Amino acid sequence: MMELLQYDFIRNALISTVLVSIACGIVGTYVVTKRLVFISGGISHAAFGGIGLGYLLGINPVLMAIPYSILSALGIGVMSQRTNVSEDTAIGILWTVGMALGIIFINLSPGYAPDLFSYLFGNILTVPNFDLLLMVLLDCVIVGAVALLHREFAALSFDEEFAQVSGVPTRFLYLLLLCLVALSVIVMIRVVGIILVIALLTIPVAICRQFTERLMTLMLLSILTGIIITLFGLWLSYVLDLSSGATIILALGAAFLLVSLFKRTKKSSP
Amino acid sequence: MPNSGVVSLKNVTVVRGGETVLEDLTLSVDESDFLAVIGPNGSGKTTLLKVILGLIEPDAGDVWIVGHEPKDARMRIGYLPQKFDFDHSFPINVFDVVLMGRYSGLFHRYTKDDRDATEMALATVGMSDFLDRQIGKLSGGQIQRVFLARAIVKDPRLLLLDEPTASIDPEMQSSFYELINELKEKMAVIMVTHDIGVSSVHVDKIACINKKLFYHGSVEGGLKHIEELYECPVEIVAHGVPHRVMGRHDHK
Ligand SMILES: Nc1ncnc2c1ncn2[C@@H]1O[C@H](COP(=O)(O)OP(=O)(O)O)[C@@H](O)[C@H]1O
Ligand SMILES: [Mg+2]
Repeated sequence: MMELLQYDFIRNALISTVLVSIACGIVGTYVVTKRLVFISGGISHAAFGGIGLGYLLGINPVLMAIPYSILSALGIGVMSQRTNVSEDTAIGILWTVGMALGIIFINLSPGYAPDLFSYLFGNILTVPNFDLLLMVLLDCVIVGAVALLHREFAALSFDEEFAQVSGVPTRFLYLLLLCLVALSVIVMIRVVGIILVIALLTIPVAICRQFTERLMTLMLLSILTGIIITLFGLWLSYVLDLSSGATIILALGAAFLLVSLFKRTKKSSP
Repeated sequence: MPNSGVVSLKNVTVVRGGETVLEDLTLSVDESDFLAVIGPNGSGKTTLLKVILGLIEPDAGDVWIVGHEPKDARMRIGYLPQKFDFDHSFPINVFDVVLMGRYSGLFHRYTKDDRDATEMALATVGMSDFLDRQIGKLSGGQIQRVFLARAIVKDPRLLLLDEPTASIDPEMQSSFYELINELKEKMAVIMVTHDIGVSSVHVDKIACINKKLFYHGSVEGGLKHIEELYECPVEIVAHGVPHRVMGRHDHK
């Protein structure tokens, strides 16, 4: 294992595991408790439009996906707050239109898109240094926002109407929360890919919420769990020579199943 | 101009989805009033409270709460909603739920004062033994009390209660009313209720609404109007909880 660490790609993989787990533990806690899973799916898939636009314009696709996914997050949020379109309809539209735009943009791009597959399904072993830096930056934004606004986010997630009555600027914070989801999607794209993002946002939190009744503890536990299981999945994919993103997700799914079964048998035989 | 008194509504009309929900409603509540708002299901009682809270903007008319626009007066209003549609598995304990009632603005940390007030409020509602309990692991009546604590934790001038006894058993109801009786010494209370029998023992005034204000005044004078109010829409009334309103009335 020690000699493995000398390889840049392994080192980058380990660092991105930690960075991804931080984003997922924090944002995922709100995604799960405020039930934003579907909306997050919409935001992550819409981000594919940004990837395609990056190819077309010759800009780093992950960089291009940042403004793009933030705009689609705001689009979904505003559409469901201000218009008569119901939220899940708004999500469905942006989800598919984003994907379709991405494909068209790539069609229009000169040449072909060699690592397109890795944006869809991720490849933790090919995270470039620049993207790593970007991930650090986005993690800082996410941690900073939640450090400053965790009281408001907690109130918003628990009881939106009461939060509003207490003077919490709920509309603004809801949109901000969706933007944080968008940023965490960007952090994850390289590692698990757009299609598998939701698993990393939800499964660590779903596992950990069976063990704690406090929001902050849930975040920290989820980060730790994310790191451990992602590393395990990474190792497994290395040993079995399988796709890393998918193996990580399967490891997460298996862990969730095991923990839930364990919890149930413990409950039924006190 | 802002009127005196805690609540002052003048000719308030609310239209929702093309339908008039409140029509030309004028109502006032003074410093230490305990007002019961009575009316059949769908008569606009919850809407009235949301207008007072500034959650719904009236389409016509003026609303003044302790001399301010509703949105600016929120800090002085405690609110116990009709439905607690929150996720019962939400990872939060009783103490933190009530502490949220002390929210005072962006970036403000909760202080020791806030924590002390939270403990006091939980003691007032008799839930001190449950500080660490996850909120979903309480009975309906206990959740009710915790949310009442959240409503009173910032010492509001005005307390809004939306059908607070609809979901709790009769035994809990009488102790709940005792609690409200103590609270009304410190703040004005507006309580939406179907349970006129019990409430009239305690309340100072009643307001009967069904879209419009039918009656606003002392309890004794109101009983006649309650009959009027509930007589026509008997079917509506019979669908829901307030069977007991008819029952009690028939016996008289
Ligand atoms: N969000 C809404 N959009 C449109 N109409 C509504 C909405 N909420 C309530 N209403 C209507 O307003 C009327 C009054 O509702 P409400 O104030 O909840 O009555 P109550 O609390 O007296 O039972 C009802 O006819 C209801 O259908
Ligand atoms: Mg109601």
